[in-house]
Amino acid sequence: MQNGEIELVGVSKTFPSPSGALRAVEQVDCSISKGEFVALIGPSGCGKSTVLRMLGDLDHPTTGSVTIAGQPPAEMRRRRRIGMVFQDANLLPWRTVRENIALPLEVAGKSASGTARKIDDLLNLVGLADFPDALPWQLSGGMRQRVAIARALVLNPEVLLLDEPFGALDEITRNRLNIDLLKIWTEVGITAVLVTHSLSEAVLMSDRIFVMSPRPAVITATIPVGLARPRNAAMQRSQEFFDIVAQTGEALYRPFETDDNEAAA
Amino acid sequence: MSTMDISPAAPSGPPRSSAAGFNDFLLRYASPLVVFALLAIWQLIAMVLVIPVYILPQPLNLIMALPANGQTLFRGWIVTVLEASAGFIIGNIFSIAVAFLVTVSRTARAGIMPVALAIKSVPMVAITPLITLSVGFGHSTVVTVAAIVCFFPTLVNVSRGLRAAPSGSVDLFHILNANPVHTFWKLRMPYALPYLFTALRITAPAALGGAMLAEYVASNAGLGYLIQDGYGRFQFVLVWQIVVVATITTLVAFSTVVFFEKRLVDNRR
Amino acid sequence: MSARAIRSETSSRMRSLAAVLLVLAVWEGAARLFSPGLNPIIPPPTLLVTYVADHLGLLFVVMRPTVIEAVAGFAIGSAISIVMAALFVRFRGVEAAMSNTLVLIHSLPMLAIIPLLVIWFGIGYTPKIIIAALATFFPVLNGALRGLRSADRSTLELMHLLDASGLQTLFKVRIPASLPYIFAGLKIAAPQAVLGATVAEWIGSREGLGSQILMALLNYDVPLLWACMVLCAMMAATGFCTILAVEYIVIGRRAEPVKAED
Repeated sequence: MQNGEIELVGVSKTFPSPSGALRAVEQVDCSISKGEFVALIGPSGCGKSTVLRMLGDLDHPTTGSVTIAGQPPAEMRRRRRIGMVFQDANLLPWRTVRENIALPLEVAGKSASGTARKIDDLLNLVGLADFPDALPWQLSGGMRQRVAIARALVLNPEVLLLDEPFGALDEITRNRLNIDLLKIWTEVGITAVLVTHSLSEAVLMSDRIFVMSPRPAVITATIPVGLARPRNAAMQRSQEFFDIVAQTGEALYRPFETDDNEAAA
Repeated sequence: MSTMDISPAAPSGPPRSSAAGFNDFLLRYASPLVVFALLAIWQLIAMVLVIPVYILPQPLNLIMALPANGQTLFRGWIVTVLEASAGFIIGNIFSIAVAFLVTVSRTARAGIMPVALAIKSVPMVAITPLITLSVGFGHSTVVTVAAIVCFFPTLVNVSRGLRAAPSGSVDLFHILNANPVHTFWKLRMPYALPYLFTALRITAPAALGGAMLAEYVASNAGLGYLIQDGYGRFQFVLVWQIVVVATITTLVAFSTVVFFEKRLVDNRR
Repeated sequence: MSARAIRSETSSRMRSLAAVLLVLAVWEGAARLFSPGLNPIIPPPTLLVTYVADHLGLLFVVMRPTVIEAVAGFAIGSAISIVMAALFVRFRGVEAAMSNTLVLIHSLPMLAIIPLLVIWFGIGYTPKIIIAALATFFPVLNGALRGLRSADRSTLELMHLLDASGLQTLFKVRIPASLPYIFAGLKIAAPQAVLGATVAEWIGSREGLGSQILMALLNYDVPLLWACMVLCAMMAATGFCTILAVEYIVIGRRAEPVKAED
């Protein structure tokens, strides 16, 4: 299991804080294969976002190692092989949709001529072909995230990191975007890591779910999701889906129920 | 076993190594050191290059000449400070009252704001002579000018501040059937206070500057007048001393406002 | 001030304009009612307009030096302060070291340093331009600093993720994000530059609006005083509107339109 696309070995993260060191991540070991879609799920503040940020070289592990395709995240970032979607779409408000998607291309110094086609393809992929010249303030939250996804994919990155991308949206939009994201992922065939605290989202989207404990985080369970691909919305009402959700939920809530039982005793 | 406290604490700054300690020291003291260095350079240049005293007197000369001009300076200074303070108090109080009016009544707002804007658009330098003609030479003009200078910034900031309380909190007070005094004192005022102090930080120095400006034209007392008089009589050392005194006074006024701001305004948000 | 607030300020200025016109009408009526002879200090607006029209040539000659001084001072002051703001953002240490010095310079009373400048540079344009530049400096510096720092952490992290160089981040994110704030600062500074130039003319000058105002005051020439006052205000307003226009051209539709502020 050492030839995964993404490897985390003995990763921990401690933050200094006024009241002494804050151990955000205790120990994380996992291996993610190329082209796999995995979800990191856990309670709020458990450190799952920290793990994701370490993958994106936005934070550094205190101990342990993180590699992507054999390289440290810093190197992958330098080569611009990482795409990331944040909870806030973070579009530049003075740029149109098209210009926002083009931002990574400009930064990477790619010529304008070859890239117009690429941007058009992406606009089609994310379903915004009718809005290339819209400004962010004219778009709904869901549309903005579509732009953010397109922007994350424009340089054909090695991995796609998603930090609760639809967390700020309502459930219905969220569900639709998840299905669309699956279609995009299938089409692009990229390794994806999704951080979420929604059980159904994790089960719907991923091949495997890593359940994290409350802070300091460790991976308490790895749940394989055997649902057939390509997934669709109807699957969410199948018995198999519910079973996996229950299984994941059991792992997720176990630490809290133990406390409750102890308290009641 | 991990606790139930799962809210993330924000990671604080860099670890306190000795290098960081020196950095902190530098950050805190660099700025005053720079000022001191500039003063020292000024003294050296004036001394070494033997520059005539009317172009660039040495700081030490200015200090040494204090006794000679001391009384004149002090009398002028007192007048300016009193006039500026009076204008500051009158202008700000009046302006706060208008801010209340404007917040409470939409018609008042529609009527008053444009006039205030028009007055603000006319630079002080143009209004001062007009006021001089209306009110006459002397202290009343100076105080009026100082008050007008304070009026607009405070009006804008305080009226903004009175509307700064989040609507959710306003609704909360409404549901709790809080009486208007409570609502003002416990909700609107704490939110408005930072804005008020922003205005005071602007108007304290402005009142001094405006007073001096008015004195130059319309009075025979105060630092502004002394500048005009001193300049006319080629008493350049006096003029330089006035610059120093006026600057220090402005600094003290500003620092006083900041002092109270730090104690009265909760900046922990 | 966000771009949103700036837009709402524009439309409320439109309403203010309407109210000002109303005030003018009332003024006209009241001044005429109380007969010019009894109340010489506030002539009716129509009288002012005729006075200005009659003396247009003279007034333009008077205004010209002031305009030059204010514009030059504004340009120089803005340029220096924007560059300085960029330096401060890039090199945090520089800002920390300069902070007390800046407060000191900001505390220098305008009137007091004019004589000194005149001693050094004579009674030509230079002292006035320097004062105008000084008056411009601080509002624009504040605006530029706020603007260059307005890019939020997430956006900067995005640029970090894309391995963008410091210069790329400056030009693609910080500068566009700072434009609304810089323009807000410029709009405050424009009237200040006019004020600075005019005050500077009070000391050691025989031409320009400021010295004319002083002379009108000493000669008790009320219409002239009012005419100069109006011109002064118009200069300030023109400066403001010019910046507004430039802002619209540069930023224009890229900022979201908003409902008028209440």
